[in-house]
Amino acid sequence: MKLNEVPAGKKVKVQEYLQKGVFLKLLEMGVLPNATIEILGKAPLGCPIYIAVQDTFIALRKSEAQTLVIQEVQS
Amino acid sequence: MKIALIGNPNAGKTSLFNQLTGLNQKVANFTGVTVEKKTGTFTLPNQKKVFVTDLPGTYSLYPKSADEQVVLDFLLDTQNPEKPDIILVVADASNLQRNLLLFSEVQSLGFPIILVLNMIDIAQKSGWEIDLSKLSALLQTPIVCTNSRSGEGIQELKQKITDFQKLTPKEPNSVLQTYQSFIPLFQEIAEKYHLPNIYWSNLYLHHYERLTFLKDTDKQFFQTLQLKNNFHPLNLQAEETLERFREIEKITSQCIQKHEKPYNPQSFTRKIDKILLHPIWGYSSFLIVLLLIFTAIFQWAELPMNWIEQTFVSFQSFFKENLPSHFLTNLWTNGILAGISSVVTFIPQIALLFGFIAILEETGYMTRVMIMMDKIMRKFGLNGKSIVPLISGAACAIPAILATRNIDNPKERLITTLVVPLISCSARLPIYTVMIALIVPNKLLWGFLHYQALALLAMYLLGLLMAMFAAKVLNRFLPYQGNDYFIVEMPTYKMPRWKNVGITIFEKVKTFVIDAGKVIIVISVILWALASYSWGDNMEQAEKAVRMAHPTLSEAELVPLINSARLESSFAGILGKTLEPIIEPLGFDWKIGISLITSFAAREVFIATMSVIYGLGDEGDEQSVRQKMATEINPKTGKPKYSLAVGFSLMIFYAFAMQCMSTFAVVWKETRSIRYPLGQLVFFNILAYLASWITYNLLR
Repeated sequence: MKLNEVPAGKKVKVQEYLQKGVFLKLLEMGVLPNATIEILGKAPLGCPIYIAVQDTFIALRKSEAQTLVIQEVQS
Repeated sequence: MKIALIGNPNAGKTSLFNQLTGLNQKVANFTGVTVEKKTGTFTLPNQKKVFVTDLPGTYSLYPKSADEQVVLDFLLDTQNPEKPDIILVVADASNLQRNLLLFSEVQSLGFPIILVLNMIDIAQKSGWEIDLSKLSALLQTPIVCTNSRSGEGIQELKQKITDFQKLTPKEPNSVLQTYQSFIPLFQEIAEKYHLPNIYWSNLYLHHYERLTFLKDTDKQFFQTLQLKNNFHPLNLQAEETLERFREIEKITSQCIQKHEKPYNPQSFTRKIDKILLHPIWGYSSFLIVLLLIFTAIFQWAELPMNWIEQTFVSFQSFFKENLPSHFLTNLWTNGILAGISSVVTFIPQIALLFGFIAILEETGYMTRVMIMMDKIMRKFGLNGKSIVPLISGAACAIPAILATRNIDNPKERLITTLVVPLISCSARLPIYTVMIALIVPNKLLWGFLHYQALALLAMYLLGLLMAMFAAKVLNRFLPYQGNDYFIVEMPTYKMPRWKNVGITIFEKVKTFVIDAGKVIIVISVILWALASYSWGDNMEQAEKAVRMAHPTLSEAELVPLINSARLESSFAGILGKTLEPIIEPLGFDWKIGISLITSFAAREVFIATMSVIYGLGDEGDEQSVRQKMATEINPKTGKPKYSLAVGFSLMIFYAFAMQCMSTFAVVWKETRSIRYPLGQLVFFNILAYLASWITYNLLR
């Protein structure tokens, strides 16, 4: 499953980054490889997507969310 | 002494800069790019003067966008005349781990650093406990804690800067594991380019393509090096970043602890965002904010603007009455004072707009606006933030163009600046209302839609659509400078710091008055000269002819007729008549020709000029001008001159044409190139001409 397919309120972990650039950008913003990502919500038409990682709130486009293969985390 | 501020976005860098420098700031551009560069000065306790540069916010020394790229150019250019003696790395104390990444990279470059833990109050309140002396020892750097909202810690920071020279400069820290195998290569590069250490070599090799100070031959050199040595930039960057985070983790685990505390800015922000980012409520509340801003610059600003205009009118008449009748008196009152007046009248609008923008920025809402509008605006090559200038442009293009400064991406900012003048501003309104009242029937469509209101709405929509279309075209032709990614951090909501709001307003007004003001005054003087002088004694001859033709009229009755005749024989009149053959295909005559020229002072001058030409004097109101225009007969057809075709042709011309000296001046100063306003002048006026011509011929 990709990040953009996850409904709001769920928590996920990234299994695989399909794009190195997105990985690096998120990494610099403090999203370490094993971090838990919470989906906060989406704008109409599913873009952009709002997420929270620890204490950081991040918005990203659907096209970028599509490059993150994720696994749901049971909270 | 020179220092530079560097830090992550939202680390409070700019308010720290404001705390240090107060009003001693200057805004310029980094060389060659339209990225804003803020510099300023302050004095140390020992009376030494310090020169500060505020660098754009960035997460690392691996930039993704043009404004972040500037940081690298600034730091890595060994010839940079502003090369800092000390770098203040500003970090958000409540998000320290992440903020230390940039710190560790800057430290690897070997610059003397003071680490500033900003927003320390928030960090403490939300439960972070930091062992400062231990952290300082482990990071081998002096640390100062500040709260740039209240100004706490600023004195200590200044003291640390003063004492800094007494500390011994440190050797750059150890070589990263990641680059073990590249050491000989890096040493070779460092020698060739006289670099301080091998981390510089790494960044040169990594970024050579985008470092503006490198020559093409250097770039080729680095390109071959990358290939020959199997240097995979992205892989290495990932490895390096992960290694740094591991090191940081080792350090922070020893001296930072987080306790659970009831105070939690994150949960507060979550609650607000549930509404403000909501698919329906989010956009509706944004609409209300836009409406508020628009009302402010459209309506609230009117009162002070009228007051300023009145004051200048009384100044002008005071000087006219008390100075001898002389060329210099005329130049001063009708040329220069009129110019100053048009500069000063913009101040209320600019101040109000920037008050609002600063508050939106300060609270953290502006980032959300950019994010929410991204999807729509991106289609036109614009930025989510472009919505604010575009809407403001419906009041006035001047504050709107200044507002594009908030857009970080240089290309998106440029496109916004270039298309804003196409939005119908409030100065076009008098022309629209006069012409619509003249040509559109005062009737209802289907019993409830007012034809005249529909026509006005159509004119506004036309402007907006043309602006979006132009943006789309420009997006095609301007070179790509976009961010590779749109991954944006949303700061937590905060109360605005009123000092920062005040400084923003003051700085914007100051830049406008000084930069654009000069140009506006010069153009104003030229326009005055065109309308008041002519070859030889042409104007005196015209006046004499009027007196001869109406020997029975009193002086008061003669004055409007004389003024009309004088304007007709002035340079502007001659120009208007020369223009006639060119604008005739649009349905315009020489009278409109003259008005087009004088409109360059401001579009609403059209009405005043028509009033003078029709012999109604300067004070002719819209209604009497309209009556005069309504009764004018076209000598060729015998029908009313202002037909539907001429009326719409004229309105469309005003909708698209670039005919505002203040816009010209502001675009020139904001883009720092005369090419852009000249381009607007040429393209918009050709566009206006063609659109008017088509309209005229379709409706005729």
